[in-house]
Amino acid sequence: MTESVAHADAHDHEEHGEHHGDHPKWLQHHWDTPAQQFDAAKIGMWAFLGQELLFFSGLFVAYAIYRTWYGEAFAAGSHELNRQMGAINTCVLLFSSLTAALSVRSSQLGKKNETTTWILLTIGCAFGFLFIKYFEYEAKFHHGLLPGSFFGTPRDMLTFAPLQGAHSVAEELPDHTHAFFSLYFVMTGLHAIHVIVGIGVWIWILKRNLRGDFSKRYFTPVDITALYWHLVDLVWIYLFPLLYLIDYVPHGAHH
Amino acid sequence: MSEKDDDEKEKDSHSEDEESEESESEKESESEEEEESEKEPESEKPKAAAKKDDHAHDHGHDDHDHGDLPYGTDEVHAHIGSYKGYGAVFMALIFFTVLTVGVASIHLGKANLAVAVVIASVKATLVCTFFMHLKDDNKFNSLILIAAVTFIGVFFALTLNDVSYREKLDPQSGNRMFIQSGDKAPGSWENPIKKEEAAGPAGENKGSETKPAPTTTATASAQPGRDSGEKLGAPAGSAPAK
Repeated sequence: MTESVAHADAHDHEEHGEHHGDHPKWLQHHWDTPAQQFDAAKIGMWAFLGQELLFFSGLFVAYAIYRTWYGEAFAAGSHELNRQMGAINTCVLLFSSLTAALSVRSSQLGKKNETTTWILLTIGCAFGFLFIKYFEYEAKFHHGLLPGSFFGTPRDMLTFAPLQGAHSVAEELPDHTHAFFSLYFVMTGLHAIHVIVGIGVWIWILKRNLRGDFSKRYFTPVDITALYWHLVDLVWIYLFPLLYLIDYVPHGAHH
Repeated sequence: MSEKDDDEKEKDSHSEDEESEESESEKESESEEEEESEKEPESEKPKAAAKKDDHAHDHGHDDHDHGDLPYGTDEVHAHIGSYKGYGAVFMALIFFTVLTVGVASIHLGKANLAVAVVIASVKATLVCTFFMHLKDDNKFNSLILIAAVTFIGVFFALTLNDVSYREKLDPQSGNRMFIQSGDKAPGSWENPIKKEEAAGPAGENKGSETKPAPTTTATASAQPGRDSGEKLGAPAGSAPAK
């Protein structure tokens, strides 16, 4: 019996044992076929992504409630954010999603070096995103726009040394603006944690790619990681307009 | 049924490796293919399967051989997008980002939020369909996404429904009022004593001390709980020093 026949009926034939011995290194022994392994990995990842969406949706629901209650405060809080930085970060993240998709493409084609380039670009964009985010957070801290009960605390009253001596603009803002900043920091912070985790996973994938783990026939980890990265992008696609663009007024129209 | 399944598998999964193979297995795979083509017209295949088949044919019929692989018939067959396609999706995403910033500066009142969410959803759909390969993927993955989004919808609908019909107790009238509009909440129980007081001199709230009926007492004792529940919406640390 030739191999091609043996594998054609891999599922329900008595040649199971024979077939089993031929597993390549990357095919885990409990899968019959590469396609089965690939599909299972994808379904598993999508189940995780569905969970991630539900996980984030709690914060979006909280956002919806507080925005209906304190619409004015949300508009005022939103005006304190730096829209230019938000817009630039949106583009950075969209571009990193493109490079992630292209890294999957090149790994599907077995082009190892090209994959390396795209992964490096993706990681670079991720760091760029966090870099811009750092400056945004720094400015908010500086103006006393802190989450929850810290909102409006003058810097010299804060025990954390780097925050001391802030000029607080919080007094000029309507009541309940702290609710906006609580959500702002939790939502963008949780998103930033996902970005940091993503960087870690990409570095691992980069290492495996350089080691030559991936080929035309086996690129599942690259594909799965890119799926995660696109989810990070998806969340930001909603965060940007909801946080930065409430009752947008062109620059200079507010204080 | 199982035979048909195998045939389909045979068809839609093949490698693109160009290495030559033994003539013997080539013959076999060809003969299998002939069988398939005979069967195909009469078998009613689900749309997805049919699409997969088309797909398989697109990808070079000539190297429809898998004899060089130990289990080539079940080789991973994933769609490979083009640079042009991915680039176009990226440009569309940038376009919608610019659009959402532009539209936000036009004052549309409450419609601004709806427009922002719709544009974001269009962008999200683009990312899911093309970057995340749902277009060419196993449809079950799309189902998982749709299920998650559906339950997020349920989450929003039920919670917002609750919140928008939740009332707070107005200490003056004893009525439960909408937080936003200040209107009386539907179905709210009206305290007859407080109603009398409201008709009489305003600001006098001593009526609550003369609790004539046990029912009123029960309501009065329930009130602090409701009040504190309402305060959750505005945490103690909220008020900035003014």
